[in-house]
Amino acid sequence: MAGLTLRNVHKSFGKVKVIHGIDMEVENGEFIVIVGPSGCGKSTLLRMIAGLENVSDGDVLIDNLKVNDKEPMDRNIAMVFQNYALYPHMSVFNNMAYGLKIAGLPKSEIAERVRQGAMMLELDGLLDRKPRELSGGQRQRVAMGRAIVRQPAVFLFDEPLSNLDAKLRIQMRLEIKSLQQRLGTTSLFVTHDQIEAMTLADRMVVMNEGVAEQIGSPLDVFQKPETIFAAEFIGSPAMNIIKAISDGQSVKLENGTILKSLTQFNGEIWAGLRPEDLIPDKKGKIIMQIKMVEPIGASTILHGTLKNSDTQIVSMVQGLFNPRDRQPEMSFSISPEAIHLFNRDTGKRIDN
Amino acid sequence: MEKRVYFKGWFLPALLIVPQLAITAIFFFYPAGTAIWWSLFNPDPFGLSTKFVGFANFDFLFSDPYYKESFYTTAIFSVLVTFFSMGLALFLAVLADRLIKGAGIYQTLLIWPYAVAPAIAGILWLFLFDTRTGLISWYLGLLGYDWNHLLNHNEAMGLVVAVSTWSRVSYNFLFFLAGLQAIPSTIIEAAAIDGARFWKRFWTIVFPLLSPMTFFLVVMNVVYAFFDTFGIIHTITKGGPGQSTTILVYKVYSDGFVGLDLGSSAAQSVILLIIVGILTILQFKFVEKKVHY
Repeated sequence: MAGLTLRNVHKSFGKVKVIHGIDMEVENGEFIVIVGPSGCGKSTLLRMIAGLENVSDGDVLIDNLKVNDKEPMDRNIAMVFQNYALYPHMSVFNNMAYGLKIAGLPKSEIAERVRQGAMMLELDGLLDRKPRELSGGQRQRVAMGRAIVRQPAVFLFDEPLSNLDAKLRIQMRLEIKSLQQRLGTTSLFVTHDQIEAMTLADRMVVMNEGVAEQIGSPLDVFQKPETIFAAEFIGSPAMNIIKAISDGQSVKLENGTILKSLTQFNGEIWAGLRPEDLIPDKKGKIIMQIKMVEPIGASTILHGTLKNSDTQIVSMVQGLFNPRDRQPEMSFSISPEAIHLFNRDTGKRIDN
Repeated sequence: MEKRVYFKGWFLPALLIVPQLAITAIFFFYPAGTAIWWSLFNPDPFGLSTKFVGFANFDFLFSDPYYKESFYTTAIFSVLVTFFSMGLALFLAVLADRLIKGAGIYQTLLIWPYAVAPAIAGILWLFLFDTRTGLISWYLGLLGYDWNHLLNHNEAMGLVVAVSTWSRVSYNFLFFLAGLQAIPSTIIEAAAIDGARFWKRFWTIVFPLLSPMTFFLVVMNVVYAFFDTFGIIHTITKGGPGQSTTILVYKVYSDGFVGLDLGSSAAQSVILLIIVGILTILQFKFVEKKVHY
């Protein structure tokens, strides 16, 4: 059974089209992360599902019920906002109980549900406080608590972690994930942070300029990016994209380097090489002129250019690498399976 | 970071604050001081001599039924003006806040009455309600209703309340609109998702969040009704019929400049001075109250 279905969903503001037809089936209990750069339409998509923006074309179905023309309150959803949007004049208890009171639940049940929600989120001691008396992380929990107590069919998260500091963000990320697994509620989570997307998602939607570039599990997207955009957006440091020509057996990079490949494709392509797939190898054919060395602890990132060209490339080497030991040039090799090929005209992946 | 200029001598800084001090002294301290001084004296009817009477002017006022009645009139008048001008302004602001098309035009038009001076506003409304030549009173006459605010106490009060409200709505509207626009839209959206419909949202979320603004406006409107409505009352009813629209500030004028009882008039202005002082203290005390968002 589908928890949420999008059918050819479009959105335009006046003449400006922001979302160009998105199709998606979300299974019950699935955790979907919509990831993309700012302005790609991901928040708009979420707001359309919430009913805060109307749908210009296409259908939104929740629990197999078309909800295009339904008010947010009639969609059986709950949303967590980036700025939490807590009611500042109400205590934590009243913030969480607000929706239940409006739904007309008996007082005892409201108290019970809020108590359970508060327990789950470790808010027990804070129920009498006002939002301004809470820390950022606690406010975040209250916002989630408010969503949980309503027991909706779908949770919507609109970049809920981006106002937290780095450490808290990682902690809340884990909590959201475990909470969602415990409750088994279908969830949509919007973020621009690819690490959040990779760690949280059962499946992720990589969005760019109002188009879903790829929908798939994080590993799928990472290992087999469907488009150049998905390839560059997911993975850190980003994948190196190099102009190349494929002749059906090998790939010739723009600087003349010839790499073995497994493709049958003939023609102009983009070759995608992940920085961590470049393995230091004295006999390697890929020669990089090193400009910068960034030691990040467990590994080292090398920035430079491909020899005999201006193309910037980045490689990531395991282990410590003393910047003082750096040579002007290093050579790398890459296994043929690790080379991603994209059609130069369409930007689409070419499968081996 | 505080940006501050430090002067070495005292001459330039003194010179720079002299204009402001002069204005305050000439237009505030001097008249207020004179009023306090005069409130302790009583001139003879021809203005040839004055006699020190201590607090006799105040004693007389507090036992004067007309003065008590004027207090009562002022209370009714200011409550009505404050309630209607704020209520109407809030209603208009809520509607204007929801506008998407033409919001600028509506907001501009709603601000216009504020540009009309109170005395002019009074005259404008007289064109409509004058007992002999007024347009609306003529239509009311056709409907069989004999409008005469020169004879009917309630009609007189109603008319000055209406005019005062009309010329105050813009001011309140501006503040309410600014207050509404300062409420983060996500809070409203969260309430909408929580199931609250428009009026429910208004009463449980929007109105409580506006409360600091509302309190500020209550004080400002009471002050307005107490003092700035002089021009309206003067052009429309001159405090009449009888004493029915003689609010305190109008009584200061009519006792002093029409009745020529300068001692009593001065004592009344001292009392008003104290009332303003109290309102100002209230204002400062509560305006500090933190806004929630």
